Amino acid sequence: MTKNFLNDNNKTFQKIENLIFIETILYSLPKGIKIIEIKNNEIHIYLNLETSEEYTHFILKFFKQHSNLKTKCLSDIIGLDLLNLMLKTTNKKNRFNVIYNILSLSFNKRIYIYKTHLENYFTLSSSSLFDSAVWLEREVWDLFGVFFKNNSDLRRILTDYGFEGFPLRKDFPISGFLEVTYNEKTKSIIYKKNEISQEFRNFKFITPWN
Amino acid sequence: MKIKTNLLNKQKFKNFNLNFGPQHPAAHGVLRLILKLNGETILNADSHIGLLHRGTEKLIEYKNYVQSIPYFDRLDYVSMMCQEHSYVLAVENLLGIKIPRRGSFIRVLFSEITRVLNHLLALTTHALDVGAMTPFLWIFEEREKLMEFYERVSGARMHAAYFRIGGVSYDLPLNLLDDIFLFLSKFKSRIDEMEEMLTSNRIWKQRLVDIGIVPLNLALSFGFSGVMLRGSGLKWDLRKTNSYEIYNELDFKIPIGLNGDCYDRFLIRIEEIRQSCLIIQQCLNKMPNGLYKINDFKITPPSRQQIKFSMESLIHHFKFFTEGFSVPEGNIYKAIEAPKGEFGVFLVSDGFNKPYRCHIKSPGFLHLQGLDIMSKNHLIADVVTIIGTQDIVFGEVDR
Repeated sequence: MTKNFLNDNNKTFQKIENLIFIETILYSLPKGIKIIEIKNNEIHIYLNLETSEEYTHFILKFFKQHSNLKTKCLSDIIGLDLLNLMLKTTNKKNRFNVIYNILSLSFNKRIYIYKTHLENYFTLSSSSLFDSAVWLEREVWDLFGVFFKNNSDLRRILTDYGFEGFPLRKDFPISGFLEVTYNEKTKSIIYKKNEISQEFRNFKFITPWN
Repeated sequence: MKIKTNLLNKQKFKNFNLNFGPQHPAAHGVLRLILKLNGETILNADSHIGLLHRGTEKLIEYKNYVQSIPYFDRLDYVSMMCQEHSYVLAVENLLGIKIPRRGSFIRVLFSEITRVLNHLLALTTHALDVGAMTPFLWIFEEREKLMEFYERVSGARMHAAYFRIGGVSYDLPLNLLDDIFLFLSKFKSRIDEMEEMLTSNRIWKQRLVDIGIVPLNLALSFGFSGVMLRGSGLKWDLRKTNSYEIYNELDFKIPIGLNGDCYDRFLIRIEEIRQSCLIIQQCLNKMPNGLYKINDFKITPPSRQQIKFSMESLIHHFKFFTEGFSVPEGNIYKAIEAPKGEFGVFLVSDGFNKPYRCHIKSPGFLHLQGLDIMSKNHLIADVVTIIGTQDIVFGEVDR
């Protein structure tokens, strides 16, 4: 059984499709959504800061199961640290954004759901809905420190065994804190504090062309 | 008598844990698999990855947009130019520029050469792991010829850094297109030879048919893409559904599988090599003349000749190589049909000359996650087959 996926070159058809999507979303999920943006024929949905954790889970379930949306594939979960971004709404509390990248194969549409994650709080795991979420959430936990509640297997995935800290956060230095060497005398691998002779030079440019 | 039966009742069974360690010739790189075995059948396969984690995403945040291009070469180190392609498309989309037609055709040509390169390695190393050693030796000679094309056009056999923002870095040298045509005319017989060795081979079929069956709902739930998804019967190819570059002008077919087992995926990869040859031929026929990169000197550097007599070119060259260019604020996710699946780049820009966040979505990460469920109730030798059919390369899984 083969399906022919419509090529998305027809612009009016794209507009109609987007409108159907947005109508379905807005009429069925009135609260919790702050902004819906359409960029390059893809839908970006920004969730309200005050949404409860269960509601986010409900939104993902709605997207997966509604017949007008049918986003059965979770491609990616992206963590974003907003610390250095010059946003007016960034403060220490709503520091992280968790971005769900879901794909509807029947409608050939990609939807991005931006959820703010408060530091030292949790986000409900979507591993009960999408099997791919287990490892994706492990990666975001490992690199950012975003805790996912109800993830069956939340341990580090990319960093070393026994690593402390969350590398991709903006306040974690690029050279790290520890260095690993092999000690000939004790014939073992030792971790010791980083000793770099020159500080990392990070140039900030002000360009006259902006 | 009574004592004996009591002893039998109190016997406990423990499963055997096997460490399919990081140093293993069939582990395709550095994969540490902890297998829970019952005899020789697998109950659970827990993969420990991260042994090749190089901190690519963190390093990219401290480099220019142009300085980040070589990182992408080294992610999936068997299909180099495809990763660059994805990143370069993302940045061009944020900048809002459109590249000239010749640049587009050159990119598609090398993208398909990369696809052939990758599938040749994937199939023959898979065969090597399963036990067939000859295709590996025969096909790597063809790979050398393809890498010679890489070297002629960019200077490097493997990590080319050829795709740049705004087009490609250098124009095609003389006679390259003729040589690619000569290569293609003899290449088809090489693929036929490889197929003759494997496809109708009794032993190969016994090792591959009905192993690692992926039903379609499982494939979607685990986020599989590329050949893994097409093997289960879904005709999903990003070159057709979300066409980028000039793929909508080219005529090619997409093979799909019926059963979702390893044998289907093997056949799909061979057919994809043949379809890629067709695409390369069409590119050779339709290659237009013109610019190979955009004419804007703020995004691409001017040529050295122009620096010698034009002041503006000199300043552009200086600014480009010290500071780079700034990309307007915004975020974008751009995915392409890499040979292994859907390779995507999520780029967040804050208006300056360095990316604020560059997240890399690699297909191998999600495929490896499915290894546990694909290898349930199979034997240990089948794990090797399944890892090979998923086409795992640790450069992109670990980044």
